Amino acid sequence: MDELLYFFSKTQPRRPTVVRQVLSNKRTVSNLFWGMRYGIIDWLAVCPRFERAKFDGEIKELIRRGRLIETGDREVLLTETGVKQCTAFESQHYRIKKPAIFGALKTQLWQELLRLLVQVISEASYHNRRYFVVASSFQAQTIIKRWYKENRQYDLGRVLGEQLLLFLENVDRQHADIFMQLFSGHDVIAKTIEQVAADTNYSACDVQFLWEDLSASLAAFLYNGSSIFKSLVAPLMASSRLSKSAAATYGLYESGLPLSTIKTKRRLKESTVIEHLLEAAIFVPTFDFKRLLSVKDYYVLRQLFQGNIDNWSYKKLESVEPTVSFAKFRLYQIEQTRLNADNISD
Amino acid sequence: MKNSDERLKAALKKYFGFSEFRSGQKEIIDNLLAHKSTLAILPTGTGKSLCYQLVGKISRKPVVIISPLISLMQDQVEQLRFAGEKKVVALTSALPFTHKQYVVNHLAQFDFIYLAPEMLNKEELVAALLKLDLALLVVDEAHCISKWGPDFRPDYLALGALRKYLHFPVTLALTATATKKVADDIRKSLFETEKISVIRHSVDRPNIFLAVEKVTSQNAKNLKLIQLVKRLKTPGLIYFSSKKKADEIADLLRQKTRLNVSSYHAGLSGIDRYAIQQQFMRGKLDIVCATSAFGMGVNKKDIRYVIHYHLPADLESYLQEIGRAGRDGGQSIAVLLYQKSDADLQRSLIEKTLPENEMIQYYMDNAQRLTGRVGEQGELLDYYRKQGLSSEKIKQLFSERRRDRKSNLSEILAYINTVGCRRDYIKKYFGEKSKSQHNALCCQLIGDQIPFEQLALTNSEVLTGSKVSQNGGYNRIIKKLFNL
Repeated sequence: MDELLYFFSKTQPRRPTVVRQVLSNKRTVSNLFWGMRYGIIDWLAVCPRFERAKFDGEIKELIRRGRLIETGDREVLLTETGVKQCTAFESQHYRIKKPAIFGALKTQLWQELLRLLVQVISEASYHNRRYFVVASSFQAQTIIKRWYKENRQYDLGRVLGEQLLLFLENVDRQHADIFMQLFSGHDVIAKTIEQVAADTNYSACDVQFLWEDLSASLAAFLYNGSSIFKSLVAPLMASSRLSKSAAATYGLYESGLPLSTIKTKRRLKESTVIEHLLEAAIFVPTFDFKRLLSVKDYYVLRQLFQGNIDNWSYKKLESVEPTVSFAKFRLYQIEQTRLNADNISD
Repeated sequence: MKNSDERLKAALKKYFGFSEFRSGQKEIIDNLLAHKSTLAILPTGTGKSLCYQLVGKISRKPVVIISPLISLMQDQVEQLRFAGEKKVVALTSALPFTHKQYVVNHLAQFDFIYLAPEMLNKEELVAALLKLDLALLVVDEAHCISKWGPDFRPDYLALGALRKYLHFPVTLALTATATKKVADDIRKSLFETEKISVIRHSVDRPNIFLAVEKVTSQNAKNLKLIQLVKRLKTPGLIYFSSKKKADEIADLLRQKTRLNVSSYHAGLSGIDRYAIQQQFMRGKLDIVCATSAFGMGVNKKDIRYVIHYHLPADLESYLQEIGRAGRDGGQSIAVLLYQKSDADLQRSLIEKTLPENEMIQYYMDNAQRLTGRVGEQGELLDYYRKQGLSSEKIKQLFSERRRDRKSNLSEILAYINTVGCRRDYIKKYFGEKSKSQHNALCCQLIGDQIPFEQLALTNSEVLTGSKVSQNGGYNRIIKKLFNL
């Protein structure tokens, strides 16, 4: 429960609903924007199966225990006790270090492939063909079978061993030890999450996070490297953080087509095209804001809005200059957030 | 004849690496190769699956195996793969749609096809089966037709019709424990009036000492359990009716003993279940606290004891589960821990899983609206309704079922309270005529102590300590994994 404190701030009121929806990958533009404002957008899709009732119950309990305080409009702030508790929690528990990879990687399939890969190559390293295959889906087995057939002529045991050693060199020693205890192979039996937890000071939940975090980081390590294993990871790694449909829209936008043409080509409503572009504005570092915001727009927006971006209100703009749309207002907020990354409260 | 015997033995050696058949195996295989359908009632651990596997190998034609549990099927698929058999598949509802489709379209490519009974509702699958030139149709755990059929797996009841549709292929019905009544049910349902061969071996396992320990409270039960596991030679298996209790007691035993204990049940992830099964198989765990999800495919030979923490539903399941002990022929022990309220738990389970008359009537009156919304009970009701049975007939079926379950419960309670030899009681229950010669190594008579010393089951060795945690640092593991 206390791990949720991490997503709240002492100074910036935050909506728990946004936090939950970011964690469970509900990609509405509003969620993504506020996730960006809260500085937690990297946590998108880290807990895709987080149940609403469970989450809400935990938030309620954190409020009851005085670790969070409600500030109206369904927002909460971290209290002094909450900050202390958060720090204390962090010192005793495992925190996911590279959450951003979760949004790009097919994590569950990768975890299955990785376990299977290690076992298959380990057994092959001892020329053993009779063994019980680790629990895995038909899909994972098919992928590994095909990949192994294509690559078995290489010295896979040596290469995978080297890659793992190289990767774990930069990981905390205890974490690396725990991670490797979760694999089965020739004459090596994995421990269960519970068993590892019992041997360390971590909870089962911590060990689960550690496993997910390090296996995702390993995927990124192999993907960014040039070893033979890159070809296994690549199909599981999305090249952009955009949803498939938003990426298609953005592709057309990038090629210079006007919105009206994009709308026809993609057979989408204009509002959907705009939502896709807002998503791109949040995720694509090279997004060209100036194509959608005119000099006049900038002038009006700059005149009206300064200070904390969280507090800007479209109503204020609407009453003064109704020709500037909400989408433009939001784009400006996104751009300013980017420019003033330092302003994001933590 | 001699010549064909030698050929069989050579095949046994070639495919499975064994030099001799175990009792009953050869008789079954001879029957099947002579195209005689067979009902084989052999105790657990006697190598029933080898019979159909060898027939498949020898005849070089596909074998279809109907099996009631996904976990059991997966275990058997893994074991066949382990033995080097690649063309094997388990077709269950757990497979994603596209993969199911692939398997159905390429059915002829597989030599061993495991099927969950509910898959037989798929017309294209049945049509694909019809095109195969089958060596054999196997109905594994055939007692499900009688015992589980009316309760949980109505699809098993349709297997007779499937045989007819497939033009009566040679069929092997396998079960570990079947009373005469259950055996009759299997015959009637699967084979109607067809002449078949029945091979029955005694359910008795003389190397398993039978004991019952009565306790007066939950606390006393836990203390008795701790006492037992501290004293008994490992490895051991403890069965529970609930996942929660299995976890709880595994925790308790870890705290109170130096033994390596893990729980195993359907609530764990597949990967954890794999790890625990492997640890247990390779002697790294002393005790597994399990629900019935564990065991069907576990082929560990040296399990020294099976303790039941909860009361099993009937003597059939009890015999199945204690049959995991002593497969190496070594002295082993089965202990049933019994507290009076355990019987109430079973009674309430019977009430919970079998609908009452009012519920049946309500369901039948509102069947359109309720179909698919009433869980297991509804599934069964729906099956009967589709069979065109009237509300009255259905009520009668369930009331017979309730009566049977209650009578099964009374039988196991009678086993607990019997003043005579427990082994004799079991044999009599399963309709076996021969009597045992009761002695100190046979069973614990009511009021007697368990003769641990005489059984040589006392744990005199150094405990396994923390074998599970010997994996070591990451460097060492990587070097070990890849032989570096």
